[in-house]
Amino acid sequence: MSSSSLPLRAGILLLLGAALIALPLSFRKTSAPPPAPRVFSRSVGPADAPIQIVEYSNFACPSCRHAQPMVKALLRKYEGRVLYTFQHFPWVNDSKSIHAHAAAQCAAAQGKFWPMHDWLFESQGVWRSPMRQGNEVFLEEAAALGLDPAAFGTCMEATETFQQIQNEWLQGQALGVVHTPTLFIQDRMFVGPEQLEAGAELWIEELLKKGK
Amino acid sequence: MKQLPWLLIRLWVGGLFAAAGWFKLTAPVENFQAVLAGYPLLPHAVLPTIARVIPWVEWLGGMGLLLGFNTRFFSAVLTCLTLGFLTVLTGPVFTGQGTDHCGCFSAVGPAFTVTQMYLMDWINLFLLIFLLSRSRHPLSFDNLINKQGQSLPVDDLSTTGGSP
Repeated sequence: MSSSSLPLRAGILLLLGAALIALPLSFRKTSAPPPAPRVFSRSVGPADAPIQIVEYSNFACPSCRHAQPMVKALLRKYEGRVLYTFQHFPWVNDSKSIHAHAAAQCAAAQGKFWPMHDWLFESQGVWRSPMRQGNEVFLEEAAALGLDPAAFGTCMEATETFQQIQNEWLQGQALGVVHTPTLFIQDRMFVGPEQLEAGAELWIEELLKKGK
Repeated sequence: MKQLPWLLIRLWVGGLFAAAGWFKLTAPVENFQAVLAGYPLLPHAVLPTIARVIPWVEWLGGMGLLLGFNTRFFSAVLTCLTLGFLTVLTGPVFTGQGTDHCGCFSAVGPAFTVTQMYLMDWINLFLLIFLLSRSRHPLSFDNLINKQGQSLPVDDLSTTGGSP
């Protein structure tokens, strides 16, 4: 390279570098928190809690099941200071996953979201089994939980149920959610059990300290 | 016409890396960090740093090749990166995890399995070595700059006794 081409190279490098760095950043989806959802049938904690946790989760996903004890431990430890809300984020190409979310949504309509939520995670292997086709397995569990079977059955067929799930899925996608579980703890995103275990508690402590 | 294969190689490899970097950079970094956590060879303590650095190297290196700017330098950088990818992917490929989604283009980009990406990385490695072996590249910034740089010494020669 001749020495006369050096300033030209440096100039191009600077210009290109600036443009190439600015371009992806301007398209970047932020890790900003989702708008505060007030889905109280799927929320735990006081509405005026200083910290808000929103989890985008999928009942069919093994990592979400694995993360459940960690989430529950956080909610126990910071009880009264945290408002936790569950958001639907099923696999869109898996009808079992979508129907599981519909079952949870329909249980929520009768005030039994949490028992259904726990059963769906604990019995993932049961309802995901290829031997269990259709909604039968969810209807059986609804009956076991004491839900009105007719109302539950109607809800499981209703377009509004699936519309609600789809809306939450789209909302999650707009926020940059691609993997489950993804938790937003205030303005920070945690993806997967590893990130949750490594940083969630520290982050909540930091937020609580800042709030004092 | 003889230069066409070299141009295509540069555009293919550059485009691939630039796309991989773009998909990761435009998504929250935590997503790529979660993908990396699935590869056992990577120490968890350095995952946040790796998740931030790799997409930038892919994007800038890929664009460097696409534009043909400092082609050999960026080829060398991407060769090192590809060797790193091959090291990380070898374990999962030979331990039955080859059919998993590799997450190499983030979850919104094209979905390749670990085995598909492993094979593609070998191809890319050879193509990058080809690019490294050449000093001139057709339709590149490097060529343009070198031509301009060379014009001055030619003028100098003509005024300092180059002609009788």
